[in-house]
Amino acid sequence: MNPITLNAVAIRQPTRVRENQDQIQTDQVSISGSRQRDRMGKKNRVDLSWEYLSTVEARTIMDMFEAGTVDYVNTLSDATAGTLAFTGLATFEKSDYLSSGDTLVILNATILEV
Amino acid sequence: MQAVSMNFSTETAANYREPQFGVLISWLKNIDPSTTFFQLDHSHLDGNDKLKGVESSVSFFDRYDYINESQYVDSFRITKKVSSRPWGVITAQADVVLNNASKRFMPGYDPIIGGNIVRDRPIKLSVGFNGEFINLFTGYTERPINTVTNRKTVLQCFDAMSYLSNKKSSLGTMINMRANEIIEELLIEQGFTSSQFNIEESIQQPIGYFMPKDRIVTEMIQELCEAEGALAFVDEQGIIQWWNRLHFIYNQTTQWSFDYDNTAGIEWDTTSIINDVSVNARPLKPAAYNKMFELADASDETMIPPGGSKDIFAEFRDDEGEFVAISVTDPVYVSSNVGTSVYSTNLSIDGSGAAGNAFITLDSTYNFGSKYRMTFSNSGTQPIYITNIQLYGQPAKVTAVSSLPQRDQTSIDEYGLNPDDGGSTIVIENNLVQDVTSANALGYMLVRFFSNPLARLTLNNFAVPQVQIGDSINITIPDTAESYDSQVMGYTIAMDYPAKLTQQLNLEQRTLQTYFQLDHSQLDGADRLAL
Repeated sequence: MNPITLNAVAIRQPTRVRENQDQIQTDQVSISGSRQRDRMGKKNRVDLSWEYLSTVEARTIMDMFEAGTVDYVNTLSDATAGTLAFTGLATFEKSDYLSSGDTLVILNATILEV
Repeated sequence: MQAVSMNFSTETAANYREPQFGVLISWLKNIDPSTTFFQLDHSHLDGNDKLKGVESSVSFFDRYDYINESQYVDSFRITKKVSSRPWGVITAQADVVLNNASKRFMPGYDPIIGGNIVRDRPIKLSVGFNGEFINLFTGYTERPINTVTNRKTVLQCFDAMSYLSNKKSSLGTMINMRANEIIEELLIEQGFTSSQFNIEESIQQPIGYFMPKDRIVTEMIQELCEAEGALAFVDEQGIIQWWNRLHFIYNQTTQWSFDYDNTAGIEWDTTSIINDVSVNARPLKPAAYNKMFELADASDETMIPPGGSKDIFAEFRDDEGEFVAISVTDPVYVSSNVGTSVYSTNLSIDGSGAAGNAFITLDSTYNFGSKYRMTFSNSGTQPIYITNIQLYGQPAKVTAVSSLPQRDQTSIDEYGLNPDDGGSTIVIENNLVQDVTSANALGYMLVRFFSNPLARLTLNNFAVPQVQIGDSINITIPDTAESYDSQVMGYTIAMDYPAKLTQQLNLEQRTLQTYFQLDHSQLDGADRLAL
């Protein structure tokens, strides 16, 4: 079973997944070097890369990204040592065709938790 | 320092904090009759309770029904600063940037608030820790600025002092009232209740004559501040404060301390040197009922045309110049002087004809203060002259007040005469200064505070949101082993992404003094007699 779904749809699994959290915080350092941290929380972030997708597969994923927010679920997340699920907004970049014989592309995407 | 719980104070000083902020806007400006108020340690911002003023009072702004727009806020920045003189009216300003990606703040877009994205919306900004919030700003928005390209809505906001700067008074003459009583009357007229302002007692004598009618409220408060050496501002809860010139002296208990461990940057400067001041005034003082005006001769200006009417103005002047009439007895026709307000009439300009008084009526009068208008009408068929007018009433006359020269010769020898003010004596002219003692005190205060350069520091400190204007702050400089007792003369506090709560304090060193207080001080003790 594929661990990663987008909008509860089984997709071609990415070749690289990097799950992380943006820390919503600022440190202030005093003249003597003392530190004070103001923190409001954290937001999930995932960087995905597919090498390679057919143009149809790429289009399916890009359509989900373009439709608005996307529900990301990974049941084998290394970030949580379990399931990572969040709703986010995606930005992505698709490569040119890689060969004249096949219509394969590389797709890189980042999903930021809303 | 704003009243906060022990938990809040502990959180403020902690190395790890989780600040929260709130932005409440009353777009619809609806009054909420069922308002309940936020309590420290009991309420949360997302609950139904409202942030209100100090515990015992409900501010002018608390009556509105607010919408919590915190989730749309990109940043806010609040600035409040006293001018270089320790008196006057301070207005706080806040700049709020809202994220408008959802188009919520685009005029006409949102079905509920879209028609109300306009100016003069009540707004409150707050910050808190662990769900416990304090207000940082209470005021009104200016015109919202929307940009489609970067999807931001920018609100520039000002506090209630700005609200009062658009309001004119309709109150009539005030006689022998203290400055604090005058300010209270002005605020009550504008809809504030007594729990919505905190006006300290005036230090000087009652003001003999004060005419608020048709004058801007803030301008009058500014004038009263200068005459008293007082400060007026709206605090973080929307309560109007008026501090007399002894406020700083009686409030010197250190409320927070900074050193290199909780300060990211310190900038030094010094206060302007003031070592020679004089204060002049020409206050109006009520005098006894007396004759204030006499028109001895008729002229074309006093001719009332047949079947018509004419305004005749009396201007009140004496050897000291213009004075004002507190009250005027309307003149009546008599053929000879009887010691009260009268007028005489005649068909001839030289008074040689018949009186013709049966055709003349005094239709109306109006007292402008220094002028008095009489409207006469003539029902006859010939021109009739007003040949004499005598007006009696109670005047308020000018009394010249000049302070003794307030000078620090040692400072002049060391730094020159007022080196930061062009090298000449600073002359303060304010006709609400009522007596020489007050004039002397005003000059003395300036020279006493500023004849020697005192440290003026700008701190970029670990933010302490509860700090207010006038708070006593101690700063230790380890490099020089010096410690400054100072007072907060201004601040900027800002919240930016990501969780960036920053504060800059403008501090001025104060020479700590104790002043003689009845029932507290002994005459041979160390306390000074306050002026």
